[in-house]
Amino acid sequence: MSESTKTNARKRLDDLILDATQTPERYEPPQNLWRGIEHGLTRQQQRSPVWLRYVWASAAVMVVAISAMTLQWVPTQSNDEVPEIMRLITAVNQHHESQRNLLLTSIQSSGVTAGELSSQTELEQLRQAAAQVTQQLMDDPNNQSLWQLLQWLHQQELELLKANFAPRQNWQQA
Amino acid sequence: MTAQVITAHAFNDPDVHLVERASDGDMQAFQALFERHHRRVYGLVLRLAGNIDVAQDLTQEVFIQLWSALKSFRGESKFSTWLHTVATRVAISELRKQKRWFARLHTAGDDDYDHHLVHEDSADLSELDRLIQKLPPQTRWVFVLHCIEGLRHEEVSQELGIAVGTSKAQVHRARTLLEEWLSHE
Repeated sequence: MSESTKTNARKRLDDLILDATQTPERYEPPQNLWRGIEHGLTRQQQRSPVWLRYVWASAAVMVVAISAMTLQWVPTQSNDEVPEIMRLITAVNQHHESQRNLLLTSIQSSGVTAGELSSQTELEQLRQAAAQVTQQLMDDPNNQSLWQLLQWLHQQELELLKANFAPRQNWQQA
Repeated sequence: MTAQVITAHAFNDPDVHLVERASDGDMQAFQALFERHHRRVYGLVLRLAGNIDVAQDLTQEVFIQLWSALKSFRGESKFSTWLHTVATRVAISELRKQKRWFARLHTAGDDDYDHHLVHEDSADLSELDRLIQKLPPQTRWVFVLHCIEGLRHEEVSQELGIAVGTSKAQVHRARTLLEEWLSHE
């Protein structure tokens, strides 16, 4: 490319940039976008709190019920069983942590920071509930309901993270 | 009168009353803000996305997220300036998610993703915007934010999570490519 061609192209580019900066409202979306926004906001207001309320109500009921049950039971395991159970609980929690870290790595590499996650409070609550259930399992390792609850809490945490990460739907088509 | 309102009035911000009403849940006020600003937002995200369908989705996503974010607007700048920052962040975040999602589904690289985004209606775009569509995503984002939207390299680096030097290098790369394409037209 000759020097004069380069100079002309540079000037042409500067002119085009200047034109673009002076006409910030040049483009009009081909479709009416407001209807989709209104629909999205209405659905967001209706659905999200109900779904979250259901999850937290379920979790709270289960934690309270199982706490009450386990408090009435006398621990039956022998001292020899304790290290084995602790190893098992630790393994289950470590497996969950590795799954969570894998998911978080995917989220962070896509540019979403922890602060951007819209369900940060709910995630914290789930983790606290899982820690409480883990503690109860130490005292009552043969309680099948506790194991199921721990698994359910782990699953909910991953689902919540995925829900934050998944691409949003196409509102304009709503 | 709150500090927010005093500050916003100090900017002589024409949007301040609509923002107050919208942040109190007035949907009509929010729609009025949308009518005032959606073209500007659409123009920005269209350039960042390089695709009309994606730009429409992103414009809607920006305003949906804006509805929840309005209460955090403290009036330290004009509403239109703040909205521009929100739009940039939402758009970049969503585009990154989409790119990663697309890569997972198709195990494809940047070129395939860019090809996926090319839209047949690009004839409606200006000469510059047709050429911008051909730039690789990060190069395009830096060029749009710095050269068209007027962000400083420090601001671009903060918004995109890249080094200032990378921002400068991307602008250089974009200009070189665009000048080359212009010289062949």
